[in-house]
Amino acid sequence: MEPLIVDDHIHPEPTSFLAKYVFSHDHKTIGKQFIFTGLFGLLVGGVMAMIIRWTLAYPGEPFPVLGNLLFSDTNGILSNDRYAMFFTMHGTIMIFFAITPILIGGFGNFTIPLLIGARDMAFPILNMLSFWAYFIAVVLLGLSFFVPGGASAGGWVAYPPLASAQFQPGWGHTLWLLSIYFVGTSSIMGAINYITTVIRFRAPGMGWFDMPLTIWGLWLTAILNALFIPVLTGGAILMLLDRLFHTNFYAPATHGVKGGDPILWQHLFWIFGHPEVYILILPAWGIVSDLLSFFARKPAFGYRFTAISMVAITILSAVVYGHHMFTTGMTPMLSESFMTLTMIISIPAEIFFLNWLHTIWHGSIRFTSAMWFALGVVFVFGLGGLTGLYLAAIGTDLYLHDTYFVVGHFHLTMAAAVLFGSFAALYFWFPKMFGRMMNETLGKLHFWTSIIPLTVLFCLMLTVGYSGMHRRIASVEAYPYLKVLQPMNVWITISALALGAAQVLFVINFFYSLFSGPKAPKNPWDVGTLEWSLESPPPYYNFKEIPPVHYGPHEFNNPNSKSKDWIGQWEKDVK
Amino acid sequence: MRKTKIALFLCWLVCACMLSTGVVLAQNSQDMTRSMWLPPLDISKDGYRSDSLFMIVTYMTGVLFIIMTGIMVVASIKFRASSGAKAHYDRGDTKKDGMKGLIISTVIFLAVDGTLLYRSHEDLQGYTDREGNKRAGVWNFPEATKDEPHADVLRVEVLAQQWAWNFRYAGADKLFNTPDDIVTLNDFRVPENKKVLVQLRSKDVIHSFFLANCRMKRDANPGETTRMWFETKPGTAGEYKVTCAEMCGYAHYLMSAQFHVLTDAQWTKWEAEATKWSEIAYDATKPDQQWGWEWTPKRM
Repeated sequence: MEPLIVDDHIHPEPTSFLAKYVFSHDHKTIGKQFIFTGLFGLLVGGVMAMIIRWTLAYPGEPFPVLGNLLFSDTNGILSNDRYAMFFTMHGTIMIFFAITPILIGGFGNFTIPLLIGARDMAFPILNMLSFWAYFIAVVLLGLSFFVPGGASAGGWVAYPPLASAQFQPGWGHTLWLLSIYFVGTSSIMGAINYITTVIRFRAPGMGWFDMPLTIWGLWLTAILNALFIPVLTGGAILMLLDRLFHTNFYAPATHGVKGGDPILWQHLFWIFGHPEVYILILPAWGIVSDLLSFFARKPAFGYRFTAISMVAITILSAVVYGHHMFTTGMTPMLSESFMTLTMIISIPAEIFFLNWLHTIWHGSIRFTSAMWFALGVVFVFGLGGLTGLYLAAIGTDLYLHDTYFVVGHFHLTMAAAVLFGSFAALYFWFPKMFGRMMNETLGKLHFWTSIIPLTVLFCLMLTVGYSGMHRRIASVEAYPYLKVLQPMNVWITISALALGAAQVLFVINFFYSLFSGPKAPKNPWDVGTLEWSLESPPPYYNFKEIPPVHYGPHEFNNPNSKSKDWIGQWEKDVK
Repeated sequence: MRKTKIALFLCWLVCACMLSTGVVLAQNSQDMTRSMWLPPLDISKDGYRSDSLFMIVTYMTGVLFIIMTGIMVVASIKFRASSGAKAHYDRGDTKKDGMKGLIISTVIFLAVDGTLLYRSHEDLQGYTDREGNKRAGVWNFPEATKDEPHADVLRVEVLAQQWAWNFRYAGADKLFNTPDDIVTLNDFRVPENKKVLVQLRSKDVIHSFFLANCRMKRDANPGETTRMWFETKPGTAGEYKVTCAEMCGYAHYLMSAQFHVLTDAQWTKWEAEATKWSEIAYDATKPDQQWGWEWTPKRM
């Protein structure tokens, strides 16, 4: 399909405060709204993680400072019944209210029109609605903490019957389901926008393989969102019907009740849940693929093959979800099929991983903060991805399932790789977003003080899990054979606290630079994608004239370019 | 060049230290004073397959990880812009580059994932162990689909509930849910060196029956019956734990049962005593007590 021939019509600039900053239709403002809300979610989810780790390492000791504020009725200690609420909400917040808004809502919105040469998204009003739907979700989830009985407490996966009205009465989990419903709606709205905009609004001359890989990542994420979020919201609606109107979709076939099955939820949830983890990581993969090229001053090695591998992974992600259910008693044929398909994903993943390594090899690497974080993603994703193999193999999964090994694995791929991808994006696009430069020294310090405790912490989780510690437990008091692991649990907590403390460097850097950072030039990184041809920050209409595109996004050290080592996608006939 | 050599040597040194530590720690140890780096004592005949598969994956992925990290460290040192490295304009999009990537990935897939698939398949469908005995595998347990109880297989019904484990043994009449059943709470006893076939149900929410010392777990779901089997090694009589491995409510962290592996003599003695106690405790007027179900053969 040919890109839409864009007319040069520029809408008048909004003037009122509400139209400019609150109910804005501008993708750049909406992106920033998502990022700020997401950073707040990251703070809340992160503090919850610190409290959870403190409770595991130092049972009976009140959490410093916040403990007495939050848990005044239990002497500042996170009590064992609240512990379940905390790990449930930590997971929910980090996935849906930190990473999703920052990477997908935030950077998806901000970068897509700029990088493809468009004035805005295909549907700007829908875009605004997607933020406000998300905001409603935030309010609903926040409210759930304050209802009698407290927030949802059955794990972020919310398996029934534990998640049913019988075992979790009250509004806590119902509000959780409603919140998820609104997050889902927001994601679907966003997906419609991203998919359409990338297909139809690319600048003239920008073919599919002339787009930055960031756009590939975001576009494939949007496709997965469009296909699979409806499965989650559908399943959530069934659970809401069960909770509110006494239907029996997930009711077990006991006591004469007919027709339901708790395992139905597991299937519906994981049909969404597995693509969800690819939804979270695809933007990070795309961003890293671009940043490695930008800062190694070399084309992204094997661009086409990387893009095709990402497409292959997107397709395969739909058929592997059963690897979360190996212990449920699925038929051997089904289980082994899921195992085989899960392993096949290794092939495209290895292809683009090799392309990453080949991109920096024989490069001329500029070690900016963004580059450090991009390299960090390569490292932790290499580690985390490899640990997935243990869980894909049923022979080892039957032991490792529901132990801390799984927790270590998904934190290495999510909390490490996706989070570092988010930081890389923040450091890279901050100048374009806010017109100021972040401090590079603080940025590098942030990287090193983050990656070391992070690697220690999640690798120790792998070992603690291998040694038999199962997950979602408030303490090990009932299991003498786990007491020997306490020193490791303490080390994990110390590393987690160190990781948390390191983020202060980012917060200081981010907010100080926001107000007092040095003014950013048009193109501080000497990079050729379209957004760097504009002022920092760009005018509200982005491009005065939509630039025809003549080059790919990774033209570094092209032999034809004599005066500088990069070529902008908008340049013509470079000699 | 010298800096590269130093970097490579340091990488090698770190890896060598880590590997040697691993080898040293891999010496086995008792459960109570066990190493915190290793799983709990393996008392089952098939558990070693899980541990050895774990080690195989570790060696293979360890090599890949070391190579990957090595490449990154060397590239970061050798190709620094600040030391004057010049970038090569290589788009890597020729057919040859594509084939190279595909071939390397496929070779790694066949070597690593292929081994995992093959070994897992054997673990699941049956294999020949180190002493030459045929083992049924996780899913091919023949007695699971037999109606008649087999003398070599102990049948146990397990009912999980918030937050305890109920166990039921068929007793002398070899039928479940009859007055001569042995019914225990949080007390799972099996004779050593004997196959045990467990059928699992839950009274309320989803739980998971985890025997860490046998490297095996299976979910206990309400409204259906799941199955699991294991066989302990001779000489493993002792006390272990049954762990719940699925979030089942706020006291999930407290849900455990005692797992006693008994010698033949201990088993006979216990069976007789427990039958007596169960007969005393049996109360026909309490239908909740008769939570057992008719044992129907079901494939694993």
